[in-house]
Amino acid sequence: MSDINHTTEGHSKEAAHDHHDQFTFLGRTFPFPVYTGVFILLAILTIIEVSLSQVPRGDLGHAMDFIGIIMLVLAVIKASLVVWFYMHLNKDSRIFLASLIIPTLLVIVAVLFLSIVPAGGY
Amino acid sequence: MASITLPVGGGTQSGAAEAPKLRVSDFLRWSVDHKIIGVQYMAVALFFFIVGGTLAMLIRWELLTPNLDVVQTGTQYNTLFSVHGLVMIFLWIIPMMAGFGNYLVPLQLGAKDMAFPWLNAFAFWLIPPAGILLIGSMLVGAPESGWTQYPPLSTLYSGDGQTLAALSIHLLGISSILGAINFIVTIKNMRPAGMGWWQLPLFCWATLATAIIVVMATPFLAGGLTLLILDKIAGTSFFDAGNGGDPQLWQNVFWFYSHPAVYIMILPGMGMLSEVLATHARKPVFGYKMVAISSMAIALVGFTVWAHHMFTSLTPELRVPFMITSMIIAVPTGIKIFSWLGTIWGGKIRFTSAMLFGLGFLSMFVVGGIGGVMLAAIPFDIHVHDTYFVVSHLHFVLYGGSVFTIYAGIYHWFPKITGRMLDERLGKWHFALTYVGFFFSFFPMNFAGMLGMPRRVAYYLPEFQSVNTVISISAFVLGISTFVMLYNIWISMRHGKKAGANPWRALTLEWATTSPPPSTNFIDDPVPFHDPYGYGDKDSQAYLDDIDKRFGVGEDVPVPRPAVQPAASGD
Amino acid sequence: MSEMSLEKAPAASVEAAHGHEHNPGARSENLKFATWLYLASEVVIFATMIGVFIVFRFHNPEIVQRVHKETNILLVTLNTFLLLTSSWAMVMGLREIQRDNRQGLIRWFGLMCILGTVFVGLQYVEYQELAHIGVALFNQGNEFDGFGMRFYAPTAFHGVHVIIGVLWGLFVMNNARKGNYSSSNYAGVEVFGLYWHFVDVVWIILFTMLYLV
Repeated sequence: MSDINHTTEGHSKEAAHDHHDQFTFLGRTFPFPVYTGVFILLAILTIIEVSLSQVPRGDLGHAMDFIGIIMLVLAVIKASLVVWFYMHLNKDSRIFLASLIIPTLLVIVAVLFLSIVPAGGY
Repeated sequence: MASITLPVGGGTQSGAAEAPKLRVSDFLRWSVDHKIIGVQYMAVALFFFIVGGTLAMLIRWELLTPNLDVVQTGTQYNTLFSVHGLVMIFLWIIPMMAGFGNYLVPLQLGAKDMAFPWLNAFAFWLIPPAGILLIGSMLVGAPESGWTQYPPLSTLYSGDGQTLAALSIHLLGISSILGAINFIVTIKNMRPAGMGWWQLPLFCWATLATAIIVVMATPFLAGGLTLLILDKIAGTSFFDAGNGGDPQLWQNVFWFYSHPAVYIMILPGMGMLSEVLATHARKPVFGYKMVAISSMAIALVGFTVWAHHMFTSLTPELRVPFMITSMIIAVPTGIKIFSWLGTIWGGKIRFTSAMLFGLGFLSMFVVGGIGGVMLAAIPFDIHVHDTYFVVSHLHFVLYGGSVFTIYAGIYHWFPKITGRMLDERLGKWHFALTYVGFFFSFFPMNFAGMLGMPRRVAYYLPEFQSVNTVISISAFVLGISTFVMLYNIWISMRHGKKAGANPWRALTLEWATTSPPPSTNFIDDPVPFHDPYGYGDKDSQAYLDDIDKRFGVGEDVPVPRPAVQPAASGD
Repeated sequence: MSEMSLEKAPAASVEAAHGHEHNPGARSENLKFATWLYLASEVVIFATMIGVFIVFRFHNPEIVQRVHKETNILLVTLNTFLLLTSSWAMVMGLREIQRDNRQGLIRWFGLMCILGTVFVGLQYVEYQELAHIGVALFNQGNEFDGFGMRFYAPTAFHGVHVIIGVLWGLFVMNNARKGNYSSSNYAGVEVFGLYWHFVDVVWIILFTMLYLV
């Protein structure tokens, strides 16, 4: 029971709420909440992603190319931003993070296995 | 520990409350009390045990002779073994373990209920409709693809019953995920003061490991079943090789779930066994931490071995890693076996029915486990693939393993649940019949399998008839033995001897309250003993005496009290 | 609890003992942990469905590329922005209730629900366009065979989650209207937020996996 002190923490944060209309990142202070900052970042990343997808990629005889990998990395960054800031993993208990990371790693291994085993015939 | 911890905290109430009277009607309606839900789980599971057992008896009757005699067609035989497998796994063993978990986990934690009582009740009430769906599936183009539901057997060669069965398993999967979430939150957040992770009873450890597996593995099955149902009803062809699909995909996804699921079925039983052996041998669990860690290790390694179920369909270079992991997973299981042997070694063993089933488990599970290591060796596996050797292994670990621990658990905790002892003489008859019937049902299957008798067939070569006759007759004995237990439960619920709070003089918290416990479980907040298995020293004796003093002693107690029999110095 | 007598405990107090953790902070933490565990299982079930597509993409990239050439990325980009914006609206609503501003919560959540609904509507439009060029749930013997089922299954499953999310959002708004949340009691909002952001995260992955790569 020792790690349960959420609401008390919530109360003590009350005083800090006034500062929530701005946040500091890399030494610069922005005049809007960090949530909005994350949203702007997400939007920019999405635009980059969609633009990349319009680059002519030729015939994909092979499974994956450089642009595809960059887009996947951007998607992972976007997902991490949402999870970290919007889902409050930056403030919450580490066990929440574990309950996200462990199954994610598990399914990545599983999907990789499914992808590399010979399809169909074996 | 210098100071003696006493089971009941510094509340104002002195003495014990009367155990509450429970009526049958309390168990027939929606209730958020984890104890009622636990009993509901167990009762439903026992009902489906009878259903699945009846199907098993029909299978064995059919196999008395090499030709068809009970069933008219192969389809009917396929239905029998498919529904038998699904019922026994999804409606008997898993709900029964969930029932024990529901009843015992909050009590062992000294809590008033689970973290989410409403969710708990909801998870239970998904089971009866799922059971009806599964039984109903036999009536409408029955499922014929075994419990593994491999396409194309399930997609192209089974009727609508397969869809119903898939829906039913879907519901049961949701039910166990909800239950597992509840267990994890309860065990992590609701431990009482004075119970750190290393004072957690081993049954809770095992339930925690099981719940982690359920949360991460069962959704694989849910996803796979969703695609299977789409294949059945929406015209997709995810698993149809003739139409751009991949039947192997189902095998992978299914075993992503189902190999971890075999540990869902056995781990809670292993937890119960640690409780039973330590209590009835009056000794601390040998290597407590290693047992707890090995549960977690099994949960972890269990995710890496799935493809050993598919040795015959994998390319050779992919088989070897899975052979290695499959052999590695025998290590944490071996740690548990040695812990149990170390626990009873030199103990003051009382051969109660619970203990007998515990010892029966030890012997039979080792046989099943050795069969498992044999099957993990690829050359051997390919030789006995799809034969009765596999059937034997499966039943040794699921019946000789899980069901024996369930029986041990029933004899151990029945007094807590009902307030009355089960009849020990009937219990010993039950054990003898079960043990003999079980061994001679499933051990000869090894011979039949090695000689090449395939599983899942209604016709077989005449030279296998003698061994099949032995198996069938033993199986009938095994079937009858179940009714000895049911009769025992029936009779003992009314006329059994009064159990008192703590008939076995066990140290875990569920015994530090009346039998059955009051609606709020404990009067005051209970104080756990510093070591849940610290049998054999003065402190624990004082703690147990205090429980006896507060809650009273039953009639004809099976474990002698120092007050009654001062010569007993063991505890 | 010591005053609670066992036998004659009034029904209400027994219910209370089973229904509520007495420490609201503990209850909020329990709820959030349970939600995360539920999301853990959702990760796996979504991964199973997306994994089926990934395997297909791995072995038949030409079919996926053919579909991408035939379809317009603008509609689904717009949809992505709708969902990202709704996620932002969600978290801004949570911020309002942390400051005890119920009206702010209701306004932001209203925006969130509208965006979610439009998302589902646009997905329907998109399905119609795909059906028009011949991408069907089952194989039709055309050049897109095999793509349809592996595309529709995960996106439709995600769509169902969005619909459930919108309904849940309306439920939370109604609760807020009745005054059930405050700056010291917003676990219900937070838990719904976890679900909604998770649906957003799934879409971020789906969008890249199914439409771009």
